[in-house]
Amino acid sequence: MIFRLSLYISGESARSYAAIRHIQAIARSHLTDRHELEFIDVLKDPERAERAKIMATPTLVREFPGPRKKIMGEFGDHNAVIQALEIEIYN
Amino acid sequence: MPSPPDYDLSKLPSGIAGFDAIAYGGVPEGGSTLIAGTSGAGKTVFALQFLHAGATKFGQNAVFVTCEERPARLVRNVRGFGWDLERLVEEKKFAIVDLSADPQEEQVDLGTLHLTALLARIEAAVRRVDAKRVVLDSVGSLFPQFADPGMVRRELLRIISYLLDLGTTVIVTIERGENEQSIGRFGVEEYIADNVVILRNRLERETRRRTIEILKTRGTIHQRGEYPFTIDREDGLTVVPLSSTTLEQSAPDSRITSGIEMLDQMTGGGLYESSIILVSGATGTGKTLMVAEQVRAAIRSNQKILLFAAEEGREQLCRNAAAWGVDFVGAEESGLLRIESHSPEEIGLEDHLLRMKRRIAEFEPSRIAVDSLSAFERVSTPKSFREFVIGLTSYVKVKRITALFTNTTSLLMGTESVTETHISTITDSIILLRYVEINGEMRRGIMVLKMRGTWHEKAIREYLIDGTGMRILGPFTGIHGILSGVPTYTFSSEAQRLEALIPDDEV
Repeated sequence: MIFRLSLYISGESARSYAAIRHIQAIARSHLTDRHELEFIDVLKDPERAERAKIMATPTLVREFPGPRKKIMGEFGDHNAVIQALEIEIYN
Repeated sequence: MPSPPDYDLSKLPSGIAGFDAIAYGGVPEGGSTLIAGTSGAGKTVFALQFLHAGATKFGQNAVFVTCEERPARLVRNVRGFGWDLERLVEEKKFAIVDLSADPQEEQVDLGTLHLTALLARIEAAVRRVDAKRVVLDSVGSLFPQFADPGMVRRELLRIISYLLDLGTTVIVTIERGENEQSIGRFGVEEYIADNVVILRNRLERETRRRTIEILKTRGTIHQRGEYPFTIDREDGLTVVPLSSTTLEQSAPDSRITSGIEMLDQMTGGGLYESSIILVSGATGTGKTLMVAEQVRAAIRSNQKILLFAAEEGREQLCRNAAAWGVDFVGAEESGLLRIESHSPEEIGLEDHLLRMKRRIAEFEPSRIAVDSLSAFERVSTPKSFREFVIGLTSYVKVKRITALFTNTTSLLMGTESVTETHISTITDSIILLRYVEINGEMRRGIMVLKMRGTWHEKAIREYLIDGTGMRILGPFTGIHGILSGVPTYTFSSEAQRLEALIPDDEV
């Protein structure tokens, strides 16, 4: 099963880069060759954030598999993110 | 009442009738205003009316940030007020930012986050329609969506100050707990806004009473205290600005006839135009007859008269008037008379006031009559009754309308009623109708108790009611204490007593 993920960040800040690094690392190790990852900067594309109803940054959205799920906040704790993504369940 | 002073901060017209009067101009421009109220108090209507008026009347486009209600529901709910938000969105005058929680979606909060995406969305909407007015409704619904309420508070403050930097005027609504202890429930209110407005929806004497209070406006002044308001389909939210109505109405010295020749003599030449006349008497003394005489006088001088009947239906009024020789039906057909018959219990007093004002504005009468004013007292608290009377009288004064109010006293003989004490200071003339007992016989007496600005007769005269209406005879002589309800007689002889018994014009 391919995991389709969108990561919403705000601007080119240290926080944004940290979030990107964490999610890339998790995807590489736990979703090897079965993920699509997209990055959206809400400051550059607020209309996209409006459609997706994003409020907080950073927010990782699991678009597929459904139901749609938003994971907000710091992603430093990889296990928490993996748990929230429910990777084990969908395996 | 003082006239509105010069304010130091410029204000935006709110588009809410009456609010600008109590706020001395409206909502502080470029500031933030908090609207607090319990559920169902009218916060969303207030906020949307502010935006809708901005976009349609004042050339100020608007952004509505909804945290609770789904946009589709919102658009549908306000259609009843005649607000077409969809068209405004199409015309790029209005934008909605939807923050309502999606029940289909799961959400996990891992902590340490910012609401920058939210800020970016609101900013994008503001720039897209070039908005000058922004509403966040209602921010309390944001808190349950996140783990850290402190973060939400901080971010709200950041968003609001950013919006103010963009040059917009911001209204934030917040839900209040039922206990009315604090302004809001989330600890944001202390520093979130420069101005605080509280909407209340209380149960008083089994009727709902809505009031609005401006609690504070930083750096500017406003009217204090609670003011009643109504929400209805025609105008949305309307505040009844009672004490803000000034006493600067003109007082013409032209006279009009009361319809009764002798009464005109007693008042020194007739009633003043655009004055307020109170006719007070016990049941059956002929108050409705006085109203009918007013109608007769209006018809004769080709003036329009609007009659608000609170105690009798239209049919009954017409029948009684016909018995006194006044043709109500014919007058209605010719367009000189309009009868509005409504039971006071039907709707709240504020709504009655609003409806009366509307009817007066539509019909544009020279005279109005309310029969009886005291019927409205039944359904209200003394405070709201007083507000009702002040609201009505100041409106007819501004419109230069002559108004005749009747008041039913509770006791047959003598004494005054609550209504009299409440409104006697507002009226220009007071006419008393009283029962007088003389030698075991009930007779009727009329007197002009008060007539502002002119001489009037001080005597109590006897009057009769017959097929031609009211016939005023000579003064009672040899009797004291009619008003106190305990008359005493000072006849020195049998002849004098007999003379007193026989009215003047029959001698």
